[in-house]
Order: sequence, then C-alpha cells, then structure tokens
Amino acid sequence: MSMNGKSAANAIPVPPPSGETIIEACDVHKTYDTGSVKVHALRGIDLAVRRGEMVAIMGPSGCGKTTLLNCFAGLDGIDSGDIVIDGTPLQTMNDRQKTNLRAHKMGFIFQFYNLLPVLSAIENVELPMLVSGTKSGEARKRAEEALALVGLSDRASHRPAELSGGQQQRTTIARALVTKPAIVWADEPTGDLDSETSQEIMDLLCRLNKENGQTFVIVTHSPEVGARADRIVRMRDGHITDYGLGQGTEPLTHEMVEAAR
Amino acid sequence: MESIFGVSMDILMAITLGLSLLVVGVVVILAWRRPILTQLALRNIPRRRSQTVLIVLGLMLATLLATAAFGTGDTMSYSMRQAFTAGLGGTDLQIKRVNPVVAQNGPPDFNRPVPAFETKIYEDLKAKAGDEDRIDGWSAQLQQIGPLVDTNTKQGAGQTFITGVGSDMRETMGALRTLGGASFDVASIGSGEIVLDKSAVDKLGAEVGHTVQIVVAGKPNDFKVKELVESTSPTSQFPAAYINLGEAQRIFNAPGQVTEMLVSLRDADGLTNSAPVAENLRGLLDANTFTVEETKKDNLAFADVIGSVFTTIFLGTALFSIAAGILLIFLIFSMLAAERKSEMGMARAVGIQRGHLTQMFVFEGLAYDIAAAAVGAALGVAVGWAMVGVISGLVGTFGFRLTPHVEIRSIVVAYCLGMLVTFLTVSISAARVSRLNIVSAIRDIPDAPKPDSRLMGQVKTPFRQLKARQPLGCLGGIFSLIASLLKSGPVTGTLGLALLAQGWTAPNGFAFHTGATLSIIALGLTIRWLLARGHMRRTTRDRIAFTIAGALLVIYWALPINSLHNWFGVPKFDLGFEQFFVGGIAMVAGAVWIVMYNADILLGALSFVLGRVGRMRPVLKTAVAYPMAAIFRTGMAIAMFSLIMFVLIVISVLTQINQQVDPNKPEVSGGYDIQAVASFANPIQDINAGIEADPNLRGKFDAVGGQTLFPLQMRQPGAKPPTTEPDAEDLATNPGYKEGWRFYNARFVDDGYLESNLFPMMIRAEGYNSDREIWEAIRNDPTLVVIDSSPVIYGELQESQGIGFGPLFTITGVKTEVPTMKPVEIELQAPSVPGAKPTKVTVIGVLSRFSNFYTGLYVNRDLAQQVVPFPVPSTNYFLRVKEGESPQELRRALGTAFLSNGLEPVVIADELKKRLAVSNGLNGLLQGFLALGLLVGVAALGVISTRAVVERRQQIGVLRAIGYQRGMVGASFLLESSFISLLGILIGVGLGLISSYQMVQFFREDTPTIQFQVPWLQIGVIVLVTYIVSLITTIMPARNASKIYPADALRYE
Repeated sequence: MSMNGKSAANAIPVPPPSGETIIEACDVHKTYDTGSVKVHALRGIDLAVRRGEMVAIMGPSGCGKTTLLNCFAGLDGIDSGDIVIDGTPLQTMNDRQKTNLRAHKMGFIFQFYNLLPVLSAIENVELPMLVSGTKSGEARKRAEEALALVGLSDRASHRPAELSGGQQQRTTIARALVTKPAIVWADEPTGDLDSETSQEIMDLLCRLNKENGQTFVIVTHSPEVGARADRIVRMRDGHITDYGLGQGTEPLTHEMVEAAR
Repeated sequence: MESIFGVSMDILMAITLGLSLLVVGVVVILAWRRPILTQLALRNIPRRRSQTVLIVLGLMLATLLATAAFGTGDTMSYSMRQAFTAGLGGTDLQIKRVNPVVAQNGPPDFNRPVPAFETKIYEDLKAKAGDEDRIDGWSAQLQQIGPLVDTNTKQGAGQTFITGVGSDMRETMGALRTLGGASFDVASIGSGEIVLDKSAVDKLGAEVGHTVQIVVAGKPNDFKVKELVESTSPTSQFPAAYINLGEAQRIFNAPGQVTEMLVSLRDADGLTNSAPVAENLRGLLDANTFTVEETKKDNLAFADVIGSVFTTIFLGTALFSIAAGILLIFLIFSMLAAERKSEMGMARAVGIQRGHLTQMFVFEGLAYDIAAAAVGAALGVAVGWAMVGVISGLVGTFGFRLTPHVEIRSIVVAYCLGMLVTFLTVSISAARVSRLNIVSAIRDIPDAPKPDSRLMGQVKTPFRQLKARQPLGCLGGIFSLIASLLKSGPVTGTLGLALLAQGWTAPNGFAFHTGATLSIIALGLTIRWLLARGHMRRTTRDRIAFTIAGALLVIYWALPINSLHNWFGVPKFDLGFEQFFVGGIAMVAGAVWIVMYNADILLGALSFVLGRVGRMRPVLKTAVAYPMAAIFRTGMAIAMFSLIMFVLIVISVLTQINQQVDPNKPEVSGGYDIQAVASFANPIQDINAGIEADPNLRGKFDAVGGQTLFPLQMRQPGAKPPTTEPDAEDLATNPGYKEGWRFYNARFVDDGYLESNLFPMMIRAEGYNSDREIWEAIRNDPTLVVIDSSPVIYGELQESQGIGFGPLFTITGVKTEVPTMKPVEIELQAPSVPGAKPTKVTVIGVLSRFSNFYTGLYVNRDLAQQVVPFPVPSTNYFLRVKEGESPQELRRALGTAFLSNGLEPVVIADELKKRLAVSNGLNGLLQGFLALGLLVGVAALGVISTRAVVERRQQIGVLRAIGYQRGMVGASFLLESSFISLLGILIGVGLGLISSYQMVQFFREDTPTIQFQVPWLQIGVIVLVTYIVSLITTIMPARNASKIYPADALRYE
C-alpha cells in the first residue's frame, strides 16, 4: 500500500512483529476555525496500527486525541494528509461511502455511552445491524448473543435510563461489536465509571480483543487503561510524541518520521 | 358591533383593557425591582431567532382568530347599518297605520295594499307636537308596492316600493345620492318624473330619459326617468322608485292621503331621543290605529345583531383553534424549559429561588405575548378582510354590499383577550416548569418521579409565597393548588356531580354533559389513587386509570345524542354549540390518553409491521420510538391536530346535508319548475287564459297552480298556554295575543295547485294512505288543511321542555317521530276585519321538513271566502313545464307575457341552487377560518422538530457513527413528524365522523329523509393538505439534522 508514493508501513514505526496494518495515516492535519480563533488540533500525524492491535492514545486534555479518533474513523474531515483504513483511502470517499465503511467495518464506544434513550438495550444493540441491512430476525439473534457476551442478557428489555453506568457501557460495547467490525474506536470508555467497573470493562475489551482479533483504538486519560493496551501512543499539542514502541525508544517527532521515509 | 355573547363590547373592553394594564403593570414593577432577572429573561429572546419567530407565531393565534372574528362582525354590522339606514336619511321615526296588510275599514284595496290615512291627521299631529323641540323635521309620504315596466327595455320590476314624496322630504330623508355620486333633492321631482334606485335600475335596465310605466289596476301611468340614485333598501330584492306626492295620490286613487309620517330628531345618532319622543308621539295618537316605529334605532340594532351573529359563529368555532393554541403555548414553554434545564438547575444551585425562575419565564413570556398579540391583531384584521371579501362575493347575488370595517374597540378587545389568554397560559406553564430537581436539571437527566403531592402542602404554598413577597410565586401556587384540586378525584368528582345534577334539573345540556365528563375524569383519577395505595408501578396505574377514563369519555360522547333520555329518562337537551365544544375536547382528550398511555403496545405493533420493510426499518424504528417516549409533548401535538381535524370533519359532514337538498326533489319544489310572483297592485285575472293566449306559452305546461300568501291569526283550542309573558310590542301588534291568537301565513291554494302539487308529508292523519289522498281530501273538503313542519316541531319542544315560543304559532299533540297523527283542530281568523268570525279547520297532514322554503298553512281557496269576506286574488303561481321544454326560456316568456302584472318568474331549481351556493360558500368560509387553527398543529410540529434536532444532536452523531446515512437521519425526522400529524389526523377524522354520524342521526329524528354521507373527497383533500403542510414545516429541521457532521454532533453537549 503506498501513501504519498511511499509505503507507510515501512516509513511509520509499528511495533514488532510487523504484521498487516489496518490503519495508516500520514501527515494528517486538522484545524478548527471558530472565526476568531484557529485551533490546530492535528499537526501532521503519522500513525500505523496493525490488525488485532490494542492501541491506547493518551495525552493531556486538548492535545488532539479525540480529534484523531474522529478523523481516523471518518466522523470528521481533515485538511490534508492521508488516512487508509483496511486498504481504503478515506479522502477519496464521499460521505455515503464513509458511512458505509463505518457501518460495516467500525464500532464505537463513547465515554457517555450515547445510547438512544428511547430504545431498549437490545434494540440499541441491533440497530447497527438493521442499518447494515441484516434481516430483523438475524439481527435480534445476534444482538442477544452480543448482550450475552457482555453479560447483560437479563437486561435486554431495559431502557438506558433503567441501567447503571457500567451496564450502559456494556450495552455500548455490545453495540460496537455486534457487527463484528474490524476496528473498534473507544473514546474514554471508562471515563464515566468507577474504578471497579472500569476494571471490568477493560477486562471485557481485552478479552474481546484477544478472542476476536479485532483492532481497538482507545482514547484515554487513564494510566490503568493505557497499561492494558499493547502500546501507548502519546500526544501533545497535535503531535504524536511517543509511538509506544518499547522502552528506550526516543519520542518521535514529525521530522524524525519524515526522515524515516 | 355592540355586544358579543350577550356582553356589551364597551364593558368587555373596559374589563379586558383593565386586566391587561394590571397584568402589564404588575409584571413591569416586578421586572423593575429585579433588573437582573429581567436581563436574564430578556436575553433569551434573541438567542435563537428562528425559535423566537415560531414562538411569536404560536402565541399570536388566539389574538388573530379573535380579531378576524370581530373584524368580520364589525364589517357586517357596519355594512348592514349603512344598508338599513341608506333609505332613511335623517329619518328616525316612522308613523304608520297598524296592521298594514289588511285595511281597517271595509275590504282591502289590493291596488294600494299599504293602508293610507288623511293628510289632516299628519297636520294635526305636527300641530300637537309643535312644542317638542327634540324634533327637527317632519314629512309625509305615500308608499305603495306595485309593478314598474320600462317601455324602452321591456323589462319589469313586479314588487317595487313606489313612494310619493313632497318638498317636506328635505326635512327628514334629506338628499339622495345619485349613481354619479352627486346629491339629489327629492323635492325637485316634478309631475311625470320618476327617480329609480339602483335595484330598480338593475331590474329594468333603465337609463335617464327612459319611459317607465307604473301599472295600477291594469292602467299604465307613464313617467320619465329623471335620475338614478343609490339603492335605498338593504337588498336588491326590494327595488324603489320616487315620484311626486301628488302624482302618487292620483295614480293610487288616494287623493289627500298618505301612508307614513316621518320624523327626524335633533340628536346626531338618532338614538338618544328616539324612545322618549316616540313615547310622547304615541300619547298624541290613537294607539289602536297608529304605530310609532323607532325605525332608525331598530334598524341599527338589527344590523348589530347580524354583526354579533357572525362574530359569535366565527369566534365560537374558533374556540377549538384557540384551545389548540393554548396547548401549543404549554408545549412551547415546556420545550423552552427542557432546553434550559441545566442552566435553570445551575441558577437554582447558585441561589435563585423557584419563584424567580417563574418570574423569569413570565417576563420573557409577556415580552413574546405583547409582540405576538400585536402581530396577531394586525394579521387578524387582514384575515378578517379576506373573509369579508369572500362573504361579499357570496351575498353579492342578493344585492348586499359589504364595506370592510373594523372598530378600534374590537381590536383592543381582541388584543387584550388574546394577550390575557396567552399570559394566563404562560403563567401556568412557568409555574409548572419551574418545579425541577436541581441535580437532575444540572445533569440534564429525567427527574425522578415525584411523590404524590399532599393537598395541604399545596394549600399552604400560595400563602408561603405571599409571605416571601413573591406575588407571581403566589399566583403559581394558586394555579398549582387549582391543578392539584382538579387532579384529586373527589374534588373533580364533586364538581362533576354537582354540574350533572344542575344540568338535569335546569335542564341544561351544557352543564349536564360537562358534569358527566368531569365525573368520568374523576373516576379515572380515583382509580389511579386506589391503585397507588396498592403500590402498583406508576406507569401501570396511569395506564389503567387513563385508559379507562379515556375510553369512557370517547364512549360517552360517541353515544347517540338522545340515548340517555331514552335509557334513563334524562331530559332531552338542545344541541348547543358549547356542548359540541366540550364533547370535542373530551373525545380528543380521551382518545389521546388511550393512545399515549398504551404507546408501547402501539409501538410493538408498529415495530412488528415495520420490521418487514427493508432498509427503512431502523429509520422507522427511531421515528416512532422518539415521539412515543415523550408522551407529554407528543400527546399535546397529536391533540392539537385532532381538535382541529375533528371540527373540520364535523362541519364537512354537516355541509354535506345541505348538498342533499336537491332542488329537483318533490319535497323541495313540489314537483314544479317555475315560481312566479305577481303584484297585488295589478294581479292576473286568469293565468291559464293568459298562457293560452300567448303562442310562446301555449301547451308548454303540465300544471299551473295558484296561491295567495295571507297572514292570519291562528290558535289551537285546548293547547297549553305559553309560559313566556307577552311584551308590549306583542300586545300592540297582535290584538288577540292574550286569547292565544298568533299570526301565521295561510296559503290559499286553488284547485290547480291541489291537483298538481307533489309535496310529500312528514306526518299523515290516520286514515289517509298516501300524500295524494291528503291533497285530494283538501280539494273536496275546504275545512281540511295541511301545515308545514315548523309549528309542529316547535310545539313538540314546547310540550316536552315547557319552553314558550312567544309570538310563534305552534301546534302541540303531534309527535314528529311518529308518521301518523290524529287530526288536529285549529281556528283561523283574519285580523282586524269587521264581521270576520273564527273558522275551524282540521290539520290532516304535516309537510316534509325539506319543504321549508314554502312554510304556511295550506288552505283551500274556497275557504278564503269564509275567513276573509272579500275576494283575494292569486299572486303566487307554481308551474310545471312539459317534458322537453326549457324552464329558463319559459321563465323569460312568462315575464314578457305578464309584464304589466309585474310577474317575476324564477326557475325554482336555479333559485334554490343560488341560496344553497350562499350557505355552502359560508360553510366553506367557516371551514377555511377553522383551518387557520391547523397553523397551531403545524407550528407545534415546527417547534418540536426544531427542538428535537437540538436535543438529539449527540444522538444524531451516534446514529451517523453507526452507519445512518444523511438521508436516513433526515427521513427519520420527517417520519417522526408524519407519525404525530397522521396519528392526530386519524384520531380527529375518526372522532369527527363518529360525532357527525350521531348528529345526523339526531337531525334525522325531525327529518328522516336526510342521510349520513361522508364527503370523502373533501376529507381527503383536508387530510392531504394538512399532512403536506405539516411535512413542509419539518423539512427545514430535518435538513439541518441531516447536515450535522457526526464529529460535531458527538462533541455537542
């Protein structure tokens, strides 16, 4: 796969063993223009994630973590650069294609769960499948399985307001995984939970990661969550300062990445 | 317009303006004392401009509808005032001989049917009243009704008011206005000259210089047209002509005689001095011979009644729209509160009192209110004028001309009424939304269910607020207390049962049915309370209680109208509009409760059905789930649509009944094609001979019948005396009133008519097997008669309800629902005819209700000789044309053949269609006016959709993240609003059809021939237009929702 005429996998550092990359980004820039103020949220991000990897993205507030996640997931546009998801370049896709890509290849977990309050747990979980055209009987069956996987079979008919925070986050996880996506994007998945529930959720995510071989990109502030990931990518002021490639590795700068190409 | 719903407009203005100023004053003082709250409140207004526009639109509706209704009423009053006083000029009082139909002394002279008197009487009266300084002018005139023929155009005007005037006319009527706009002095009319008013000009096609003949007793008298003037009577039905007084006395053979004395009063409006001067003049005249009529005052009062009737009809029907508008205001403020929930929570957390929150909402609400009422008043004037334009087009065929006019007083009343209704609603909403849990509000999560409030606590709240010097809080407390009292089963139940009992004993349908409605609601509340004692889940107990109450409400109001009377002996109530209003609201509330409290079942059913619809499944799922989750706002929006649809459907079905009056049916036309009225001044001696003599008419008719309309006094021996006391006017105009005599029209019909008419009977006397047998019996026995249905219907009401109908003639002892009757004996006598004796006749049939265009007692002409001791010529002819002949052509030929008799023939079907067109047009206008109320539903959807887009921004982000395409998000919003509007429309249409079915069944008791027919096409159009308009309103918010970038949406908090 080539990016800017070069192979990103060769140019951008990935942890050993080098396998098939599923997310590749090169020189991604994103600026928010509020009229009076311009915020450079991403300043030339290069990143590669291999299939099945669990990557935590950490950094102080405002460093661009969530923006990175949104841009890589196709939820937000970018100013320049290249993002390739599972072999498909995002910037050549229109909104419809990006939406289809999300429907078929991605799952999302948010800090505040963002379940639809008017639907029951099982209806929330089956919704992505209905969107991607699965028949309702099949969708219901798989939603039940997904809820069983996260241990919420007995809460299937409850609405979000009737569930605890941890149960809501489990429902979100079930919703994210029900379509068997290649990549799961998680934005502060334990940010709104107590430590015990956080632990349970991370156990669940790690287990699913290992069992299903799905790629997880987790944005988090929590060192405990970071510690459970295969590696931690650190960000500051719109740059990646550490690719988490192991002890003693120098924090990479954009210039270093450029030089590596 | 001087009064509405029986309340003087001046008093109404004083009250509404006073209250409005009080409200504004109190709020301004509060706002001034708490500038920070005022600032916070007013800052909200420009926050979301499009939302502000929607709020103002929603709030203006009550004012708009009231102003439009008042504007229409004012225009009608004003135009009628103009029309009714146009021919009077400065004349205020008219003095005439009593009982103008029949002469006092000797047989009447049909060549001059208006009784005349010597001019000396006029001179004497003037001399006697010489010291009456409130009078500033006197005149005398001779007025008769006769035929006019324009010899140039060969056109005739059969029933023209021909007035002979002298130079003294300047003192009373003053000058007339020519068609060119100049002033014309009637005293300048010379010998051989005639002045025609516009109505006469239209009929004759006359121009200045034409020769016009006045035909009296077969003798034509030629006049030259001197001038054409504006119409001097309210409608073109009554053309008028003016000639010199001396000429009039000559041609009508009344030398030295006049028929009227006119008096002009000194005061400008003719109203202040009218009654005392009239009384004074009555004292100077023989009360048995002369009447003094306060013509101007009476005409103006009548014009006001017409205006008031129009306003009442429009305002009455607008009540549904106003009720829907009130729901909209509640909805808007609930939405505003929901939007600001977290900031309100924050404000409470930093120390702002609950009362302050109420005050902030009230400040903001009043600002919207003042602006909205102004916009509503301005738009209301425009809508009112548009409505006047439509009415003008409709009544134009009858010669009425409407001049748009609106009184400042009406605008003030409408503005203040609209503002007060809105303010009250805003205040109640404000008090309601200010009650929030601070933590839930800050976190913007649903409030935990509140424990059932204790009534004593509610009672204390207003006093606590008053102690804390928070008048608005106190007001809110009072509202809450009232709401709590009503929410409490026993209080509502007691109120309901009290009304029920009052309605039963009065008897008063409005009180009875309102009482029953409240009792049903109380039952629901009691069930809920009882279930709560059993610790049942709130949702379950609400569902059980409100489903039962809702179902009972729908069933109660869907019952056949007289079923309670038939089953339990409850009195028979009249069908009043106020009942219709309560019934409509109760049914809609009941149906909406059933739907909303069983939303999950509906949702399940819908999901099951929709689960099979391809890729739209997820969209449909969310589109239905969202509105069903917000029961309060969805229920209110559905109720708004339902209310308006309900009344539109009822009016559509009732209008359909009008369409069933088929002019070609025998019960409407008697099987005749042409009706022709000849002048009393020159009646036709033998119409059959005339037809035979004219080659254009000969052999072209199957039947010709003649009749004479003649007012007689009638009474039913042994009938119960009326319960209403006669007033002075009744006694003055009807010398036999106390003996039970009432005036009613007799129709003296000839053999031709009795042989040929096909009018069917609603009721036949025992022993008669067909309608024809009845008519033949009358032909053979002149003491047998037939009467139209109205005296029987009123008589039945009088008997069952004990209501007296004053001067109306009624027949009791006949049941309209039974097709046979025992013959009823009645007595007739000609009023004021010396030597006339009461004659006994027997009623053997009652005409179909559809024959109400020809009311009266049908009497064989042979009996006329006995009742009225002088010959009575036929003046009203009914003709049936031979098959294949054109009624329109024969109508023209008849007019030409009997021109000198002033015969005015009309094709019955055309005439009835014209009348039906007017009533259908007015119904259409009423529907259009009601449809304005749909704006409420549409605005509600706009508010809901706009709010939903803001409220669900994050959720839209999630949906987009999990794969919803842009179009799917937009479609979801459109489907959601469709779901609300369609459900509302469906409920409204269903309930409207049920109600109108029962109403038609009720009317069928009197008129079995009418059918319940659903105007599906009309309903289809109403439904489609409503749906499309509601869809258009939500397109913008739906588009905005679909345009949201997923990451932006997810970032939004």
